[in-house]
Amino acid sequence: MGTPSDPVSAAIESALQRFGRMVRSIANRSEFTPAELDDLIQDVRIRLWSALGSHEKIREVSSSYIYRTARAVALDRLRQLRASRTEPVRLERPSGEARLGAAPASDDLLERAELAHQVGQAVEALSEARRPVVRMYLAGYQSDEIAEVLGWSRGRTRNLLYRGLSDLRALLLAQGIGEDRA
Amino acid sequence: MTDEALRRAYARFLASRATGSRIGCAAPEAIDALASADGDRAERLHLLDHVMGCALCRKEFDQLRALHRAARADRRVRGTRWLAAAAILLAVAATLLWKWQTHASERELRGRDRLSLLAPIGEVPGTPPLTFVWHAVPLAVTYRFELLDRDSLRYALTQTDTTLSLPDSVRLERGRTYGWWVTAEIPGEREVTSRVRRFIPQRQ
Repeated sequence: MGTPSDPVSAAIESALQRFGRMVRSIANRSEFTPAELDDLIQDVRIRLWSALGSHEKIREVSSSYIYRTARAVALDRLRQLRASRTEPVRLERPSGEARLGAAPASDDLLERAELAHQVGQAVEALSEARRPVVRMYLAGYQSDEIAEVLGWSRGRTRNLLYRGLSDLRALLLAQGIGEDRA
Repeated sequence: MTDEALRRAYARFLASRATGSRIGCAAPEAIDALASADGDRAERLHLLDHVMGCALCRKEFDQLRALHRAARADRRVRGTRWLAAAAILLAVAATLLWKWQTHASERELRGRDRLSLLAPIGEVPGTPPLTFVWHAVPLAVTYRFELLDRDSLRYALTQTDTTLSLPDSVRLERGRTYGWWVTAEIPGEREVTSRVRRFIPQRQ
C-alpha cells in the first residue's frame, strides 16, 4: 500500500501497521497464512474507516479497540466461511499425507496412516479429564497456555498432562507401538 | 514415541478425519470465548475436547487464540514502555535533583565568598569601641552577627546594617583569640554565611 494521502488514512495505517506487526510476531503460518492475515487486516481497515471516520477519533482509538475489532472481524469471517462451505473438504489425503508435494512410497504411506489411526484411537480412549489437555498439547500448545485456557494452575495442568501422556504411551505400547518408533 | 512423533501422527489422524462438515461443531462465538479463556471451566474442558479433536474448529481456535495472544503481548509491550518512560522520568528527576543540590552547594560556597568580612582581622587595638564591618550581600534583608571565643558565643545580634559597634558591656580579654562571622538572610534563598574571621585584641 502506498503512502496515505489524507490524515484519516494515515491514522488508520499507523494503527493497522502496529496491529499487523504484533499479530505476525505472534502467529505462525498454521494460524494465519499471509493471505489470510492480509485479508483480516483489510477487513479491520474497512471496519475502522466506517466506524470512526474522522482523523481525531482514529488517533484516539485504543490498542484494545483495534484487537476487539479484529476479533469481531475474524468471527464474521469464520461465520461467512462456514456458511459458504457447502462441499465437504478434505484437507489431506485419506492416508493423512498432504495433497501437494512429492508422495512417499505406498508402504510408507500405509504405515504412517496406520500409526496415525492408532495414535488417534489411543487419544480417544483417554479419560475425559486428561484427553483435552493431551489433545491441546499434541496440537502444539505448551502447558502454560493450556493452563490459561482451562483456568487451571500450572501444577495441576502439568500433572494431568504428564499422566495423560503416560496413559497414551501405555495404550500405544499395548498395541505394540513402542518408544523406538518415531 | 517422542512427543514430536506423537504430534505428527495425531495431526495426520485429525487431517484424515476432516470432511468439511461442521455438524456437531461449536459456534464461532463459543470458540472465541474458549480462546479468551471465558466461561465455565467445566464447559471449557468439554468444548476444548471437541475443538482439539476437530481440524476445522482447531484452525478457528488457533486464529482467535493468536489474536488474543497478540493483544496480550501488545499490552505487555505498552506496559514495558510505560515502565521505561517512568524509569527515564525518574532518572531525569534524579539528575535534576542532583544538579539542584550541586547548584545549591555551589551557591552556598559562592555565598561564603560573597559575604566578605572586612574588619577586624588579626591584631586590633584593645580599646573600645570595636567596630565590625562586612560587605553587603545583594538582596539580603538582615544580617546576623555572632562573636565567639573558644568556649562560647559571646555576643549575637541581627540587624540590617553592615556595620556593628560592639557594646561596652561586652568586654574582650586582651591577647585572647576571638572569632566572628555573619549570616545574611536572603528571601527565597538559602542563608549566605561568611567564613569565620579571627582577631586578637592587643595588650597595652
